[in-house]
Amino acid sequence: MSIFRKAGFLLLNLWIPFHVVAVFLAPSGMPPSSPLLVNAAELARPYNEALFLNHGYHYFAPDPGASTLVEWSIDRPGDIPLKGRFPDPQTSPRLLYHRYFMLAENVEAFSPEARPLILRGYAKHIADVHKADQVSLSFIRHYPASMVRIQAGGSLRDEDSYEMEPIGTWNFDAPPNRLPTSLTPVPVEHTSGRQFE
Amino acid sequence: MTSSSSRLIAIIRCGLLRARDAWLRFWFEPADPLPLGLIRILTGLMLTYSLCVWGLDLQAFFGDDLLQPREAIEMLHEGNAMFSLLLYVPQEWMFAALAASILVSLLFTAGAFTRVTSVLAFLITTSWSQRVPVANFGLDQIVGLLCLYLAIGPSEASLSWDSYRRHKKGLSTQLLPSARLALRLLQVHLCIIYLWAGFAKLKGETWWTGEALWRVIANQEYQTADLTWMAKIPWLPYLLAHITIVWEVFFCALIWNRTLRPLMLFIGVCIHLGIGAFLGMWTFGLIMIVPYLSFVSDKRLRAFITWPSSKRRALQTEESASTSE
Repeated sequence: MSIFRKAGFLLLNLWIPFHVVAVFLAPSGMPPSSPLLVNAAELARPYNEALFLNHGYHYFAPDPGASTLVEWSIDRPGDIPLKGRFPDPQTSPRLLYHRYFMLAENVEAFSPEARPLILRGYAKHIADVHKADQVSLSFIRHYPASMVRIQAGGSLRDEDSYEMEPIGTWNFDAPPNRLPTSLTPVPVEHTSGRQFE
Repeated sequence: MTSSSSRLIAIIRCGLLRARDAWLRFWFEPADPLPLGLIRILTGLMLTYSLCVWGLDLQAFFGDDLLQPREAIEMLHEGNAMFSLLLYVPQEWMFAALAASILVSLLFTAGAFTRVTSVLAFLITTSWSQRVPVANFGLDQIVGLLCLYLAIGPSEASLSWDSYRRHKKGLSTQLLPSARLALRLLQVHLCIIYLWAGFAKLKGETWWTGEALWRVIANQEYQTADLTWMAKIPWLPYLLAHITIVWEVFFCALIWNRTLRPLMLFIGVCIHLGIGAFLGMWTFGLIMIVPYLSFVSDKRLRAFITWPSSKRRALQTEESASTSE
């Protein structure tokens, strides 16, 4: 074995434990966690991020709870508002439905600085699809029905299992084909949700 | 030096040599690359499908100021090691980028130019996932790590266009140390995933009370098959919740036991097929089963793959025997 091959093999044998430890540490910082583990996960973070391995693997954990949907509403003068939700059960294939579901479920887990931009993106997408100037968004929490409720004849779609949290309203003044590059959401009086300025 | 101290040194030396040999055997004992070839084909098909689905709503998800605004994603990437090559692709070139990604993914699936296409497949997975991080879920994570280990290991050495061109005959029987390394990394990573998935569930009260599985079943947005009849037999979801926890937490230890391995894999297959059938996540359910191939005996896999040709040969032998009679 040449000296280069020997050195390469030695490096490979050093990389293996490093890699395994880094992968093991990635989910360890998820709360609740000790400062020791949080710091260790932080140390491994650049390596895991670069290799797209920085995941928590918290599938349906710690407690499966309400699912989150995004409801949109477009006011139409002299008519009832146009409303919709995503994910839309009609979306097909199922993987595409799941992508929309994740948009609604995951957005609150992202940094508070980026979140308003992402929510504005949701509103902008809806505005483009429906050629609207103004779009309001709300989160809908859909709580899973308890066993007792189902035993008593209830269903998963009972109205009181939904809870609404208004997010805000965005105004896109220009026609869809000539949108300005910078969009500023304009708070609207009837909205009780958060307003982004 | 006293005789006792020299004996101690000899014992330590012997222990270290044994540990070194065990380490080398565990990570580098030459292995059949056939499982890697199969994993490559299945991963490549899933990656291709995932890319095609992006194509159905490409503008909405990857438009500069739509569902995943470029500015917001750049903000998320700032100051960390996340990257996406798609952030350097102008808006009008996105369809071309998608077409090129699908082409590379198909070449990777077929095992053509695999040394290059496996690395590209990993970059493609990472780039498409990290460009739309809010829309990611378990599927992307698993495809990502599979592509990484397939790029490290000799996934071209079996069931590939590359190996066909090289050998011009059926399956190669060459055993490779690098195949063992890639398969071991995959096995260890799967153990880590299940261990943390189990630990994470133990942080929640409902996994202890058994109610958690019911809550998953009763989630309208996931549900693709009505399982609310389980409310009439409450012990069933409770039992399934407890089995899930025990299986996830102990997978990393029990999977190495040859006797228990088939049972652990069987439970895993049932859980993941259940996720596909009842929660509508077929892509995630199926991709989670793919790394299981790293635990299946290569002899069994080889027998399974070559079954049609060996059966044909047996039939031909029978026919020629009856003709000569």
